[in-house]
Amino acid sequence: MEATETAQNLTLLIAEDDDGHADLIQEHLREAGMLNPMVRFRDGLEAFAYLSSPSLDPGRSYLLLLDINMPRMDGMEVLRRLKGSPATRNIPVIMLTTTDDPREVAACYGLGCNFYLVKPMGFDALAETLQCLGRFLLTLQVPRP
Amino acid sequence: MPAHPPLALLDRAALGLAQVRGRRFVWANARWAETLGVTPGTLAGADVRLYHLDQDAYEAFGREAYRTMAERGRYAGEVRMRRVDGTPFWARLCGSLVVPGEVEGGAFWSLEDVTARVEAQELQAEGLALNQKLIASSATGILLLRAVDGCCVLANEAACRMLGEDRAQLLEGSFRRRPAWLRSGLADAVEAALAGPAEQRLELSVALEGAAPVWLDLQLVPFTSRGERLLLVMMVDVSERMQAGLELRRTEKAREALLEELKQKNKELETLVHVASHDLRSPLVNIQGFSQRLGKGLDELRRRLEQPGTPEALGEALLPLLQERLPAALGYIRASGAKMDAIINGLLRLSRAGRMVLRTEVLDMDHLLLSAAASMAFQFQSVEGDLQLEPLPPCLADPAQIAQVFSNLLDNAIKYRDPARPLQVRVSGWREGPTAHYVVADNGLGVPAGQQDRIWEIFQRLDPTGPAPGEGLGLTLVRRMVERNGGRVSVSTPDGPGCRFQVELPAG
Repeated sequence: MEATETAQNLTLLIAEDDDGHADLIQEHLREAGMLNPMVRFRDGLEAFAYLSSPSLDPGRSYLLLLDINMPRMDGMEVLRRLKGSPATRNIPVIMLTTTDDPREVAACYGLGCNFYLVKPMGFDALAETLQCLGRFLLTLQVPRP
Repeated sequence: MPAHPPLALLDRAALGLAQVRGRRFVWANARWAETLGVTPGTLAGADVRLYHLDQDAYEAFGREAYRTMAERGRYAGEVRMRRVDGTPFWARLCGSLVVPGEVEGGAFWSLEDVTARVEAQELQAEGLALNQKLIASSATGILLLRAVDGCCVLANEAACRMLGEDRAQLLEGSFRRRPAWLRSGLADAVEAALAGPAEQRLELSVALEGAAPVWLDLQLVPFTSRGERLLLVMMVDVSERMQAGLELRRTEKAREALLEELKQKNKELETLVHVASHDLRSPLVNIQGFSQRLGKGLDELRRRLEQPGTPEALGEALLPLLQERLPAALGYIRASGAKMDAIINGLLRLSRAGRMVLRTEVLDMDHLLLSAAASMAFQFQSVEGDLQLEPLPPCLADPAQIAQVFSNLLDNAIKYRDPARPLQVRVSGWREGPTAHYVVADNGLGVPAGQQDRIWEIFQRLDPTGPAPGEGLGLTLVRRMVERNGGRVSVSTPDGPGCRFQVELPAG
């Protein structure tokens, strides 16, 4: 059995190149009651470098919210590398992106993403979705890497 | 002892023999009589002129024959004569005077019927003349070349014309020294044909001095005659055909290039639509997300200002802003965002319909329409509409796309129904040759005659302020999908109210 931690011990990683999106995501997750630490990366490479560094706190668990279209390294590549390495394979990855193209969705699941969430259009839809996600994450038990 | 033993011998000779004096037979042998068709032994005393064609012909012959015999001692000639029954024949007559130098003494004659030989010669001469005439007047260019010196021994008019030279030029000198022949490869081809046993057939472009090149279809026939190697060259000017062929190939190539370009452009356009619509979503998330935040901020401000303790002047100044003007401004931003959202979604759906890989199969259209009707049963019920499905022929198409096509058409019928009467929709179909026809007819608002082309355009709604919601994409998608499946769709106005969509697809 892998050791699991309750959500309090979770650090949320957000790979999102759009400042506005990152701001909205964090706002709505906080509003849903997530008080966990959140770290934001402006592109895929930053996120991958952070997750593959040996300085990750072994006492904490991590969950990555991953956008697809990003400069330097896109989300698919980050996902492929994380899920391809035994050290990072267990970090849950939730794709959070504007793309709802069924082929991209299928490709991400094929690479091993744990969930695929489309940033919805609509005045309230994004807030609702993100707050649901926040409440879901609060109940989650996440294995340590 | 017989009185005239030599005469008996002469009488049996295979050659006609006779003695004539003063235009009368003195004697004629059996062969002579036979040749003229008279009974042997009856010619003595007969007038020789009876057996010539006429008096004039005899006079002409007689004058010449006796003059020749007088001068040279003997005469030989071929003469047209006639038998006793009047039929003419060719005779070879040889004569010599009985007494040399004395015409009055008469002459000895021999006679041979040479009709067969003369006629054969005539026929041969006629054939030769015909051949020459044919060669001269033939539209096919004809040359006869001699291997030994490369000279042309025969050239007809057409050959001169095609090769751009007059006959004298053409008959002079060797083909091995003609610049145009050497340049075009004609000289090589002729040389090769002269060396080989077999007939050659080839097409060549010959560039003449100061003239446009001609394309010649050449037939080279080598043969040997009296120990001499010859080549018969027959040529047809096919410049026009070649020109037309080249033109056609050029046109075809241009068309292919154009098609390829069109395909490429289409692909580019679809990619562009896809990328653009996708990338537009990202800023839209911000517009909508932050509008919401602003809205919440306004609510909070208003709530605070409405609380007791707020200076009255401040409340009076700010509340109209917070209660009316700013929410109205946000309302516009929201509505515009929603509209952009709809447009982007539409573009994405359209580009996906174009990019999707088709899975073509035989579709049971009765089944497909029943499913579509079942999934829309609620909508039909809620408007108290009636949907009537008639038996439909199968077609060959992608099931998902065709289901979408008919759902959109049915949805359209519901959206654009006429509130003045209960909606009736009828789906019917038939097969005609390789095509399956389907008709979705309703009794709704219909499409005004002048607007029938516009309904297929993207984001077009005939009445954007009308009660029917939508992004103006349904029929654009219908057309796109039907056309991708190798079909056609059209709309017409029936005699009664409503409209009639006709879909044609490859029959299954």
